Amino acid sequence: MSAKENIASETKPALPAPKKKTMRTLFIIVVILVILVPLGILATAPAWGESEILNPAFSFWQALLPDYGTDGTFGLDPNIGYYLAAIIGVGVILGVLLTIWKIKVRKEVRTSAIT
Amino acid sequence: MHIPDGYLGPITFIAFWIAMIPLWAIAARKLKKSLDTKRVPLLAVGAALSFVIMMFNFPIPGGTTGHAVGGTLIAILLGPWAAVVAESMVLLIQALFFGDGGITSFGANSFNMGFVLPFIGYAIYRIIAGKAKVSSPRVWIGAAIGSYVGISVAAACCGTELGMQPIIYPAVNGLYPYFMYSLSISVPVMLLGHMIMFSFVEAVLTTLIVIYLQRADPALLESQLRMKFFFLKGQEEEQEKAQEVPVAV
Repeated sequence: MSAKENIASETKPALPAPKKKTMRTLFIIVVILVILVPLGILATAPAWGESEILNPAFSFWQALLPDYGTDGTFGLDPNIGYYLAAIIGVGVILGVLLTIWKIKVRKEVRTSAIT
Repeated sequence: MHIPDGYLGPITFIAFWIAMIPLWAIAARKLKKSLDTKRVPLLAVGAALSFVIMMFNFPIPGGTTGHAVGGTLIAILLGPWAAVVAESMVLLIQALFFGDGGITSFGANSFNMGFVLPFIGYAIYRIIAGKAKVSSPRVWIGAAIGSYVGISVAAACCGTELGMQPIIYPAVNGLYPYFMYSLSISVPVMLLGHMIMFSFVEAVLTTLIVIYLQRADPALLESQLRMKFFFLKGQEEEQEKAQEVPVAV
């Protein structure tokens, strides 16, 4: 370990950022899975055919896109609905977490500018 | 593995909400303290990967559904508490937007897939990887076995929670108010259903990515391997101790 790294590890545990290539590979895997997503459509029906007898008192929540858009909501073709669900889901997750990331980056830049 | 609303009675789902609240609080605190800003995009992509992989799901008659989760992978990359946050967030979006997994059963689902799965998977990964070098086969073998066992145990937990329902809430006039199949059905179908299929998918996905990272980005794997995890000491700590000794002499 070089002296420089030693100093860094004293102030803060040295946690390397993921390489750009790592991020790209993982993102490509996500994109490939999104493209293949209709292959997973088989099982969007409830695990039970007889699920209606499972307490109807609990059907209080109306999902935006029930069964990942495969049940014909908005007259969507199941394949299109499933794609839409995958894109919305991935988009919301990346959107929320990357926004938090941007805010954290901006905060760090601001605090380092002050000191 | 997503339990819908109406499958679990109030005693069970309230108990899991109560169990999860402190775990969410700890996870949020841990991440706030230790998650490097530079690593937040990794958490984002990990959660997104977990979301899509769960869309490849198949029904398991006598239980719920089966699919890979990716929770152990997130734990290997960012630690088990990060996996708690990522998986809970994914499950929340699935429940609210797509009706996959219930609102009342969100606590139980988070417990199974967001807590049991990554913690078991990660613990096994760390025990097998031990103090081996990042390039060692022990690292990917640990990832393979850890991810396989982690998801299988989570599936067994899910089966147990479901199978408890006819015991807690027996049939009234021949109709079960909640899940109706006994433990002797729900546990084996969930456990074996995963062990012969989805746990393998989970293990293959996790292992391939870990093997790739062993070559392409070993520093990323190593930094997490060095972290302290309960009785598993971090290598960093050991190195510091080793450095202290000669000074004392």
